[in-house]
Amino acid sequence: MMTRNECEALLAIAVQSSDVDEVFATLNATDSCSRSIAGRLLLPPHRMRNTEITVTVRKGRRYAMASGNVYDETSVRDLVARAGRHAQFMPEAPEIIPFPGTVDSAESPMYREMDISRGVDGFERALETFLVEPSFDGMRVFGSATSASSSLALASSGGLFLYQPSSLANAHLRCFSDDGMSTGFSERYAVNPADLDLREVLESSARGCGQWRNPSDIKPGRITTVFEPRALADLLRPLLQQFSRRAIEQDQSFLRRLDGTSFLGTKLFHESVNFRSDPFDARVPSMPFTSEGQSVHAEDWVSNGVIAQLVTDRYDARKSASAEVAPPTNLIMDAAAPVSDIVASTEYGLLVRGFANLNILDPKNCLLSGSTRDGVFLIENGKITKPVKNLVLRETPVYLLKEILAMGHAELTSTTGSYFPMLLPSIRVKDVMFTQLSGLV
Amino acid sequence: MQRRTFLKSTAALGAASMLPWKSSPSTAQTADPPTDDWLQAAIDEASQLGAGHAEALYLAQRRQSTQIRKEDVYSITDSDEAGITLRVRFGSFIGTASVPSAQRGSPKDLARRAVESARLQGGLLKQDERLKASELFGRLDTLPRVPLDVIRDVWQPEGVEDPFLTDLGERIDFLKNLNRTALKITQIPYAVSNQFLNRRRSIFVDSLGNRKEQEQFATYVNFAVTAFHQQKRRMDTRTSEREAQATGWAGATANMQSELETAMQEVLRTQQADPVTPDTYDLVIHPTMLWNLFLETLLPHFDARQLLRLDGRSSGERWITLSNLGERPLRSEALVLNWDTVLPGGLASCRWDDTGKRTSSFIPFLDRTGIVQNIPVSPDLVAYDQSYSLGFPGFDFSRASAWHTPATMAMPNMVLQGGRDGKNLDDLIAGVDNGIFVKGRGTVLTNPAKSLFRVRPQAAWAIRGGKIAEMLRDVEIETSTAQFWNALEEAGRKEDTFLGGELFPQRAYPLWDTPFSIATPPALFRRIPVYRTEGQS
Repeated sequence: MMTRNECEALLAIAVQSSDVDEVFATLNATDSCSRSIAGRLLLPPHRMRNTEITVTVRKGRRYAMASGNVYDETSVRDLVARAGRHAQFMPEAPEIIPFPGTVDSAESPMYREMDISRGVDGFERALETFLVEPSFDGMRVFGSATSASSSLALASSGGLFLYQPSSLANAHLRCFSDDGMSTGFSERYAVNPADLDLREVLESSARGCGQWRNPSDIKPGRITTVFEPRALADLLRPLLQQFSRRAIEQDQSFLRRLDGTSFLGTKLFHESVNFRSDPFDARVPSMPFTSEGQSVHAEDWVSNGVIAQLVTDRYDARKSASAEVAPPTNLIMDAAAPVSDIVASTEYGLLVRGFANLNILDPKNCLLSGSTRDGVFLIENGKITKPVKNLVLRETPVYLLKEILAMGHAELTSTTGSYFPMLLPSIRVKDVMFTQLSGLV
Repeated sequence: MQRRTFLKSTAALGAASMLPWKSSPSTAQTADPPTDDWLQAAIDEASQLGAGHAEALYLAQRRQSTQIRKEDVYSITDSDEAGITLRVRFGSFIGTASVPSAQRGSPKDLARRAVESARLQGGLLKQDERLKASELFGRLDTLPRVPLDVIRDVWQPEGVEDPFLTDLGERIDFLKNLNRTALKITQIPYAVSNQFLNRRRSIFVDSLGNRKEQEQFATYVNFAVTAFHQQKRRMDTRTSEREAQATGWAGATANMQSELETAMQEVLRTQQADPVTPDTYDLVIHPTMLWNLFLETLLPHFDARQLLRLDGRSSGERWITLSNLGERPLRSEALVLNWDTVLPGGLASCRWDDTGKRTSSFIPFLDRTGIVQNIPVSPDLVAYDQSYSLGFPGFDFSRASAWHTPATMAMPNMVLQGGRDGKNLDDLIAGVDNGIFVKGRGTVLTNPAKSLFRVRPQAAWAIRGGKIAEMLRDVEIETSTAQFWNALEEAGRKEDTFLGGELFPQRAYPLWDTPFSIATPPALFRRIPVYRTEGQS
């Protein structure tokens, strides 16, 4: 991992260049070790170390970028010179907004000391379980475990310097039955590798695969549904991106009124809904600044169902003479009165564990469509009675958050396939729209 | 003779002469390549730490793309990355480690980390023994052993110039001129053009004494023109037909103005054309469209990891399975496929793959009897990339998608063989009484199992009485993959073969991580369902 001083020294070479008018530079140094398994074959482990720098320069009214995995002084200078040469071909920008200058930002608790190669040690032990124990017979597992430590640093010729070290261990495993007709998936992230229980990840994936054998048909339509935290995370991510003045202005947000103004200050969701973000929350630590150099502070985005805050980027802040508000880098949705067992309190409905894909059909109301995956079950009289075939959801999370019937206890989760830490509960929502069976395994 | 001594004694192949790019400062990269001594020191260290085999791959990739919208530069992206991956083997255990070239530090550190990785693997001794006995591993023993030669070689594609040697300003002017030409036509309000340049340099060194150095280029220049018909409220877009190839700037742009003129004429005529009448037609498919149909519909079914169910994906409707090897999954005798890793212009063409294996041409893949002869993969998926060093020939093809990614199985160039009768495009059209001639890369939509697809060609003409008639619009082909490829009656002559290619194949399919080409002639398909699109093409 690169130290603050090492990053600062390297970026200083870039931002002190006199060939251009302004420079903004990003450095990302990573040291990682990953292990993968495909079927019943364990693939070779891989250690990787890299330092990548991207520079954006302004020359007059023209901007350009260049990037490379450079490290020494000459190479960094070459990179800036290359971007400078590219700038001459770019059209002039209508307006010059200086790169950010000095910003106050503390380090988030995203880093734990670790031995990279030992970070995924438990993988072997977990796989030994898989290969040996009879309960896993008839299954194949695919996926990987990775541990990495990184240093991200930003600097500008205007005096900006931001630095954040981080560590992250993650595992994602998908189990298939040997006939390929049933699957289960499990994904976990941990800032401290010691907190990542790889055996639990494997067992969870295998359990999901075993539980979803021979799913039954179900008639699509409006069905009361319990979404587990990971499914909710995938539903909320596109919604969260619409909490933006820019998106509202461009008519790409459900938060835009017909007259073009925003729903800021308006109650749109159930009063039990509260969205908060805080990069310094020890349960879900996240980046304290954005890749553009904006400082990320603790914010309330939704308070008791009322829209409480919107992202305001540097350009919009300057235009509207308002304060910058950086986008959230995590999300906390605590329930004031959580239900201890949300399934037990459900008379009839579906339990959805995740989605294969969710596409935005209409950004104006955040209408999403995509197939469920990794577990859909029928709940009858407070019990999971049988697996059902995957369905196509066609719904907006705006409706889901408005029609919440109950929330469980919040759990640590993330969007599928990429790390965006969230503390989310399971939720039960009435009359969720499923249009058809998807045919997906 | 020690490996190190051997290297030192071959002074004629000294570092300077082995690095052809060192003499061209205009193409300098962000960090110098490691010296042979550095790479050898890493290999020696790994051997001293107990590795039975070690190989180092230095890989440097420069990528640049530029987009011109109307007459303005919209974006320039430029990246330059280089690094070294060391792979070591302890018995059946393999470990790898990577370091960036500019930050490579000590070769001993790299070796130590690779060995450490292999030792982690060693923790699974019992499991590994079981794996060795598994079906896949067992197949390795059925392969014949071959003698190993120690080879030192430097290779560059013949007659291909580094596209980065052409000044960026000159390349931008060329693209702007394309757009200007199109925008002179009132009915064409929008034009966009792009260039993508890739340069790949590699040095492979192993503990057997092999040293293989290569340089490859890929250039892709394309354009799209959009026409708008004010009265009919129709909008149509036509893109350039040529695809990415392993060529220099001059090769990629030759005759492009003339291609633009043709595209403009076709898009304007399409605007005036009548919609197609839905029916079942005989189709003559131009290779500019056929290669992409092959890529999107048929090729995924032959993917080795999918065949072996090692892709981590749903089995869904596995239409071709491993049991089809040596059998006949497709009826058409005209469907003859080879794979070819020395194909001129091919994006996957090289002399050595990234594990030091010699590449070759015309490996039978699907022969005239429709029998699957081979799949582009070694059957041993653990030691697939080590089979050569173990003394097995392997018929796989391995490439590293980036310097920090160990070489793994990769898709080779695929060739749909020309027909035996040597028919040209006109001959194929002459064999159709009532049909449609289609061309141009269209967007192919498939179901997840790739068993059904839908595609809208960019341009279509009616064929009547064996001759091209009027242009048609709103043509949509929708059928099953099996039905479509079984309906292939005849492939055109190999002289009319077109080289398509995937420069950015990083999709969700296994093996599709590195660029590869697909060569196809025109072809005749019988009785294919054609529909009329509701909206605009």
